[in-house]
Parts: sequence; C-alpha cells; structure tokens
Amino acid sequence: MFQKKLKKFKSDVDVQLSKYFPSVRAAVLFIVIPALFIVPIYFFSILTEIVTGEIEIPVLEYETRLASIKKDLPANAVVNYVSNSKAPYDLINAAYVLIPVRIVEGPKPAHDLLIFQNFDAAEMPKFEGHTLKKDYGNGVMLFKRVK
Amino acid sequence: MELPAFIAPFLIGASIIIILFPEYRLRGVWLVLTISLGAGLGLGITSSTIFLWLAYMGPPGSYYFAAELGLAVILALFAFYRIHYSAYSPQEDSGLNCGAIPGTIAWLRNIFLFLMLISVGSFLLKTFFQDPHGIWDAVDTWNYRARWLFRGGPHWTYAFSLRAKDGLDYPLLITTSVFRMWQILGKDPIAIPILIAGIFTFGSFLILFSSLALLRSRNQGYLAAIFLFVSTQFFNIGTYQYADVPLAFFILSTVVLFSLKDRYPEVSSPLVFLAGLTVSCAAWTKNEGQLFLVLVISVYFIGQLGKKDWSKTLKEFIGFTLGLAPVLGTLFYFKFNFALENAHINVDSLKQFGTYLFDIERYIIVGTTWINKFLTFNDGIVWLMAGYFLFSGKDRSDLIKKRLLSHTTLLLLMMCSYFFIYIIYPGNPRDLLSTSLRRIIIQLWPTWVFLFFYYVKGPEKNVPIPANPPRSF
Repeated sequence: MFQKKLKKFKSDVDVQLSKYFPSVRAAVLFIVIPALFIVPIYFFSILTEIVTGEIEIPVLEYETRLASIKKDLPANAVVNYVSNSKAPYDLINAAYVLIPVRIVEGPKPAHDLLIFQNFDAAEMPKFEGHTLKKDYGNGVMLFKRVK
Repeated sequence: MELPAFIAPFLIGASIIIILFPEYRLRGVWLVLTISLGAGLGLGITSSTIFLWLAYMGPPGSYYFAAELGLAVILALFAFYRIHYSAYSPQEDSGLNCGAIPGTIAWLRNIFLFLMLISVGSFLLKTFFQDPHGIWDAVDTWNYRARWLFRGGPHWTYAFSLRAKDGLDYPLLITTSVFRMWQILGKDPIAIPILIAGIFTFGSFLILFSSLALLRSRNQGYLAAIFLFVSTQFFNIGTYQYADVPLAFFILSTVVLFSLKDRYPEVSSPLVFLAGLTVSCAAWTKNEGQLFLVLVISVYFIGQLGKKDWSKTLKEFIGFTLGLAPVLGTLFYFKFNFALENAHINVDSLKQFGTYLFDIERYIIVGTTWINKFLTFNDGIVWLMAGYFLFSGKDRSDLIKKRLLSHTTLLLLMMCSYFFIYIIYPGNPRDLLSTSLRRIIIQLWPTWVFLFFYYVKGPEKNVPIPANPPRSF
C-alpha cells in the first residue's frame, strides 16, 4: 500500500518536473536547487561578517601586541610567560607568535626573562626574583631576573 | 609571488602521472585529474624529500632547491617525451581516449562552474580575512611546527618537543610542505598555508568530478561535485587549514585509483603504483592515514587472495609497495627518530583497553553520539542523499555493484576502527567525540560521496545506464 502510494507520488512529481526539465531526472533538482541557495548564502554570510567587523583574529592581535617585545628577545631564548587572559588559546597564540623564542608557562622555573601580558589588571604585578625591564605600554611587559 | 614555490611539486606529481599514462595527452577530464592529483602527490613527495634533507644535511638551501628543480625538470622532460612519443606511435586502444562526450548537460556544467567560482571567493574571504593563520590545530600543531622548522635555525627539532600534550607523533606532510615553500621564499607569509589548504580542498572537488566523469559520465561528475559544494562543513574544515581535508583528499584519491583499476584492468600496474603513493601520503598526513594503509592492504590485497589469481594479486601488491616505499620510508624515519610517543597510547592505557572494551556504557555513549552526528551532519545532508536516492534509484548494473563492494567494505572498516578508538580511548569518550567526530566524518565524506554517485543513477533521463560505461572521457 505504502509502496504504491510512494510510486504514485514519485511519478506525479516526475511528471510535473519533466515539464520544466525534460532532460534530467527529478532527483537532480533535490541537489541543484539547495546548492544554488546554500553556496551563495554561505558566501554572503562570510562577506557580511567581514564587512560588519564581526570577526576576531586572535593570532593577528597577538602579532600586533607582541611585535615590539619580540625585537628585544634573543632568538631561541627560553622565557617565562605569565598572562591574566582567560582566553583558552592565550598560551598557544603567544607561543606561536613568539617562535623561535621558547616560552615556559608561569613564573617557575625562573628563566632570565619573563613576559607578562596584562589584559585587565589595574595593578602592576610583582614576580619574585624579577624586576621590570621594559613596559611596552600595550599591556605587555618584560621582566628580568635579579641576580 | 608565492606560486613559483609550487612549480616543482606540481611538475613532479603531474609528470609521474603523465609518464605512467602518456596516451592521455593532457586533455579533457584526464587533464583535470592529472592537475589535481599531481598537485597533491607532488606536495607529498617534496614534503618527504625536504624533511629527509633537513634531518640529514640541516636547513635546506640552494643545493636542495637546485636538486629538487633538477628532478622536476628531468621528470617533466621525460613526461614530454612520453607524450610526444605516444602521439606518433600506434597504440593499442587502452579504452581511455579523450574523445568528446556527447550528452553533457550544459546548464549542469554551468551551475558547477558558477558554484566553483563562488566557492573560490568564499575560500579567499574566509582564509585571508577571517582565519588567516587557521584554527586551533593549525596554530597549535601544523603551522606551529612549520614556523619552528623555518625560524628555529639549528634548534628546529624543538618543533617536536614536549610543549604540547597532543600531536607529538603527528606526521609532517602539511608541516614540511609549508616549511618548504617558506624556505624557498625566505619569509613566512600566511598565503602559503592558505595555498596548500586550497590545493587540497579544491583538489578534492576536482578529483571527485573527474573520477566520476571517467567512471560514469561527466554529468554524474558535475552533480557529485555540486553535492560536495553543499557540504559546507567539508569546505569549512578546509579553510581552517586542518589536516583532515588533505587526508580526505588522499583517501578519495586512493579509492578512485582502485576504482579505475577495477574499471581498466589493462592499466592496473601503474594505477596500483599511484595508489601506493597516495596511501603513503595519507599515512604521512595524519595518524589515521596509517590505519587507512593497513586496511587498504587488508581489503584490496589480502582480501582478494582467494578471489583472484594470486600471482596477479602479488604483482599488483609489488607495484603498490613500490609506490608506497619512498614516502612511507620517510614516515618510519620520522617516527623512529623524532616523534615522541602518542599521548593516548602508552603502557598504562594499554592495560585499560580490556576494561573499556567491555564497558557497555561506552558503547551507548559512542553509538548514540555517532548516530546523532551522522543524521545531523552538515544540517542533515544525508537526508538530501536519501531524497536523491529515493527519486533516482540505484544503478542496476551488477558490474558496478561488484566494483563498489571492496571500496564500501574499506570505508565501513575505517568507520568501525574509528568507533573502537573512541571505545578504548583512555579518558572520557565524550571529550574526544566533541572535538573530533565531525573531523573524522570529514575525512571519509568525499569518498562516501564518490561511492554514492558511483552507485546511483545518473542525472540524464531516458539514457540507458550501460553495464560497462563508454570507455572514454
């Protein structure tokens, strides 16, 4: 019974669609019509996000923030990295941007240099055994170990 | 500016294909297949050679690039000679001539081209303006390592350090491909990983189209590619610069090459050689590719032992192994000398495998999540497939059914293996499922689409589906 109804439904649809698309099976339209909507809509959704500025590019922000300090770090140095960012990718982004400097998360074990990224704290942080070497003014600070 | 860095891999990959199949003379669909497959293979081969050079000789300089370009030119000259020679020598018809195919539905082709153009625009916008460095895994693993190889100087091995918990043993195809191009340019522009992501993303579309055009009809190829355009999640993962799309590219290429082998048995030797190359590239791209390698050998060779003449199977296996050896050798070298242990497979986790294997709750968690994910994947695109199948129906040719059996078995075994990896995962499987299941589906998605459109009836009405489609493209 169900099969008969299904067969009749298929043939009715086929007859109707054949009027407009005589050379192809009706099934083709199941794919082509959604594609003609979905792919352009996808394009315009990306374009809208870009034009309205609804996008964040964390790595580029880190590139900008850390550009000055990078120049002051010796290549392949091992430095401590402390940040008050709550972003889950903070450490990864910093590590990626600062290559070939190797970063160690947290102030211990202490190395000669320590980078602090301040995203929201009002007070100047203090790190035991370190003193401020340079404040870059954008929340990025470089500390050096006191010998 | 960045494109010259891609010349050598492209020449190497495309020339190998042309040398193996000179009679096609770079026309029509074969040209599309040669370009897309050749680009991927070339990247796989050069990523392997540059890593070996780096490991043995240190950071590659002009000597390496001269050697690589020399190899590319020699192969290209040989390919040119083969094309030229084959053009003037009478050949037995292999069945793969390039004659024009009547019956192409022009509007279907135009829609395919239109959607391809829009997708290229979407890709450029998304990569250059939204996520130029890629997302998560790209920044944490693939491009991170490439930056270390490029900027690290004598400390390049830090790329494989213990900084990250995951990915200590991840293979290097993407990483060293990016590094190679940066090294040639002498700087590390973001356009390079984007270019590589684009090659594998659009290469997958083109391989899907061209393979079905060869095996079924051009219209079927257009329709399958249009369907893959609708799979925006596949496209998205491509723009994220993840390695899942390159892996999907090589899995699709391998299944396509074995399908062509079944269709054109007279050229089986070069096809299995190429399949060996693509499988080794899959293994060199991601660890899941190594599982794929084992299953390919099991299904296409060991599984065929009782069914076919064993001497023929052995001959094909030798050809496959020859294709496999160079890149797989590099992978072994990397695994034994640089890769640290896998974060999830160690003595402690092995002890718990038995416990997890009999934990019913894990089966329920993984099973329900899988079913839910498949039914809702890409906003329920499987329902679109179901609708097409309902109205179109299957190709009733026994030959096509027979040809599809081993490929379908291979993909089902891959899925079963993935399923059991979630079951024995040493940790909460929900965590792994939430971070990886979508990407696992993406790895096999283009191949499922290929098999689906290989199996169902074509778009043309009133055209009988031949048991053995016309031997031309």
